[in-house]
Amino acid sequence: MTAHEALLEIDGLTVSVAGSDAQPVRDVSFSVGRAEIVGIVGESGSGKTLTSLAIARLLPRNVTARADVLRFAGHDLLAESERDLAGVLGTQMAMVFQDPMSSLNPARRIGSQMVEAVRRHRGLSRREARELAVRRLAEVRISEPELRLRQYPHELSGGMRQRTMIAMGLMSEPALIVADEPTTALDVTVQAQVMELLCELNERQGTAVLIISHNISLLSEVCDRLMVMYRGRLVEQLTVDELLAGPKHPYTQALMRAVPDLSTDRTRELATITDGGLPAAEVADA
Amino acid sequence: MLDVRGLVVTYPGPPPFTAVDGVDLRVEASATTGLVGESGSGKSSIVRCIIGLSRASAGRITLGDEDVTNARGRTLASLRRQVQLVFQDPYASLNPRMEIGQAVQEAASVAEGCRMSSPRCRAAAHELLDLVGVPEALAQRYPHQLSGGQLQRIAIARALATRPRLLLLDEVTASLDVSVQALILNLLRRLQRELDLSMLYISHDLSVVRYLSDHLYVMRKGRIVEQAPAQAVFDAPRHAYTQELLGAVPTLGGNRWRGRRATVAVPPPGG
Amino acid sequence: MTMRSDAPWRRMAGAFFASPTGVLAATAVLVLAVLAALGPGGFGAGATTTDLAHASEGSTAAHILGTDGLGRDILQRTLAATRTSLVLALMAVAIAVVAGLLIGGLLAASGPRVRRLGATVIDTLMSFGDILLAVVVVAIVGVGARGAVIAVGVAFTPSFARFTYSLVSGVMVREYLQAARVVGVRRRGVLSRYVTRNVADSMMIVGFTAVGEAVIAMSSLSFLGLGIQPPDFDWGQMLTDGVKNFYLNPYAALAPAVMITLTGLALSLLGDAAARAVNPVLWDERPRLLRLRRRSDAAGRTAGSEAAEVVGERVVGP
Repeated sequence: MTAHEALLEIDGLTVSVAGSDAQPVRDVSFSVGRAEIVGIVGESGSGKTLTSLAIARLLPRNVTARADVLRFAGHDLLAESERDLAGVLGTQMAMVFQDPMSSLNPARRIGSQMVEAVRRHRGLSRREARELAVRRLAEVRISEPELRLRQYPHELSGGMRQRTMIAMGLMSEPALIVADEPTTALDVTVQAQVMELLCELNERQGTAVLIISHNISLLSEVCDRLMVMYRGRLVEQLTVDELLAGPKHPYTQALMRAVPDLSTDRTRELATITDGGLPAAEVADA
Repeated sequence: MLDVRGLVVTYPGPPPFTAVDGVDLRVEASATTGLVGESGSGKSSIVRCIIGLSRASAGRITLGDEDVTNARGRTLASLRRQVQLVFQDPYASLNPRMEIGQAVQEAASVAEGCRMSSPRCRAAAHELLDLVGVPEALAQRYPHQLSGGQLQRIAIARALATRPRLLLLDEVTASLDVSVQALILNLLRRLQRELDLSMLYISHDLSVVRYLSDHLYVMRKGRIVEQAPAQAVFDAPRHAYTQELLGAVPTLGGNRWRGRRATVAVPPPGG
Repeated sequence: MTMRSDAPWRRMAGAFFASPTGVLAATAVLVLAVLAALGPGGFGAGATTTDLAHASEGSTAAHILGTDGLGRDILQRTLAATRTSLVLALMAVAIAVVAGLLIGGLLAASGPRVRRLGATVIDTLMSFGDILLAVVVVAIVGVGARGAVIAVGVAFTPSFARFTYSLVSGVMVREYLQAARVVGVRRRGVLSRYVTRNVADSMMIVGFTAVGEAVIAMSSLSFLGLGIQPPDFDWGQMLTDGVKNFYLNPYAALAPAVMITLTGLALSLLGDAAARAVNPVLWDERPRLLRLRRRSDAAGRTAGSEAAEVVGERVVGP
């Protein structure tokens, strides 16, 4: 695949926090092709969430991102103004967050939240937009979509809310869905449904998906390719076959062994990830 | 050692909600019993009821030979010396305005019947922190200054202060990073060995429950749908729901979704 | 073994003075304390000497802020009124805080039926408004300084009770309290180490802010002639008098008004700084007088927490 065919292209992305030397993301480079499903795996503090927010230009004000290349769907995310990009990011990229309850406005009905963006960016009439919303909800297999449009977020179950978030992202037929821990708060059976849905969209409409998760097993079941982030750096990029054959980076190796799965030897201790003699995730405070 | 018979927990409404609907459950001494179920299945209500934080509407809970159903007063105090609970989210279950060293000293003072600032109490707290692997240098920190893993260790230390025989663990690794989860699971196994503890481990994560448990209960909508030695449940699940649950657990390299998708050309890393 | 080598009061003082707010509040309160200590008599006889020849004069060389309707020096009188004003307000707030804590705390600890009844009574009392309640109390206990203090104290009690009730109820349902009960912490420990510590900062803010409000409430009573009676005087009474001669000498009203405002401001800053000192969660924050608000959308929060986590991280080598 040549560079211009990549949907999302990132080279040398570094995120820094104002008023401190910290760089929570350092020199991260990767690309996502059209119709690809790519995963970023990492623990808290690995910079995976900040990377996704930098792509969507949703970083908080005291946090800045710079990069050598940051292109999405032919647009230079670094050079173009916020206003020009609002249309691009609002329609071609959809964000799905871990907690749908915090990204949905609890005081507004599902319907009015769903149609807002398409009416603004694509100038659909109220009726057209509502019809589209009903179609999208049906596509993510939400029962009685017309009723849901009139409901408030708290009236839906967790799984339904997450699917609503995805349906909302699909309103404008995005080329890329960025899903940050989309199923962490959900039960495994619901998680399976959400993954199924993402894969189906990818198959049917060629939507590229960037999934961010701490669960390497989950990503290995869904993604074409995995990127492993550790302490702000992309330490390894590999296909699932390469992952199963045995990753090269010690962190990836440790991550695979630290999580028990249904075939873990119950008589042995779990491998732990250490960093200078201290558990990685606890180093920060020790 | 712990026996639950026909437990019903109904929360007064309106409308009344029955979270646990006729559950039988046994926890054997010196073993780990797993209780697995999805959110809303009623598994937390069971442990809350055992430890006396919720009322049983019907049924009987016995600890050894003692009836501890809806225990009060002296029975409750005795129950809580023998049985302790560790909550899911250590940030919520530790007082944000109390140094963690003090939090452990407090538990030790209750257990040993000495003043919180007494040397005996401090020594006990020191020993407990040592047992769970928290460096003494952290004793003066407040909860918000520590990581989730460290806080969960402290919560465990607090629970161990009364030298319980049975530890109820309610999703204790659910809010932790995977590398920290491994550390906590290893710690729990070591504590069980060293202190000869019985454990009731509650989780939605089948992989974790399988790793820890000797005997397993599967719960759904307030009822136990399957129970057996853990290995048997995983090797040959009988109930359809257990099979569905097992099928939904992601496994490394499993290809429920990836396998059926057309392979997409993959650009070389960095290209 | 030493679990507490660094004394808590030292860390609290550090947190108090870490912010410009704290330094400012401490300075202002120190000034007020000195003024109050010098007392009604410490600022010269001009404060009380009647001089009808120079009544209601504007600013002159002899009287920088002019004189009141009886020719008394406004500046001296304003400063001299500090002690009475502050002491009366503090006493009134002390009554309200103690009574409110007791009522609200007991209510939060009692059964559902008592709670509902108590909450209704408090809400009813609050619906009267502070001043009406105070007037009723004055009618019962009598006009004067003592009456005013009791009246304002009683008038402020329902809101403190309500506030304490909701704060304590909020703490009672928290998981750490259940955890404490499971560990076996007794009632007294729960009260002193859990409830008190977790409501302290909010109480500080509200309590100190109330002192400023109490000064104003006192002056409202003075305005109605129900407050402190001559020859005693406080800012409230001066303000009431000054307003009558506003077009002859505006300072007669402005000077006490400015003192009331400054006192209210100083005490609410003190409340803020004190709240910061008793809340360890805020110790590590770098406080500023003006804080730029971060975008409060979900994205901001997620990134903020991750960024914060990473910022605190000591990165070990590349």
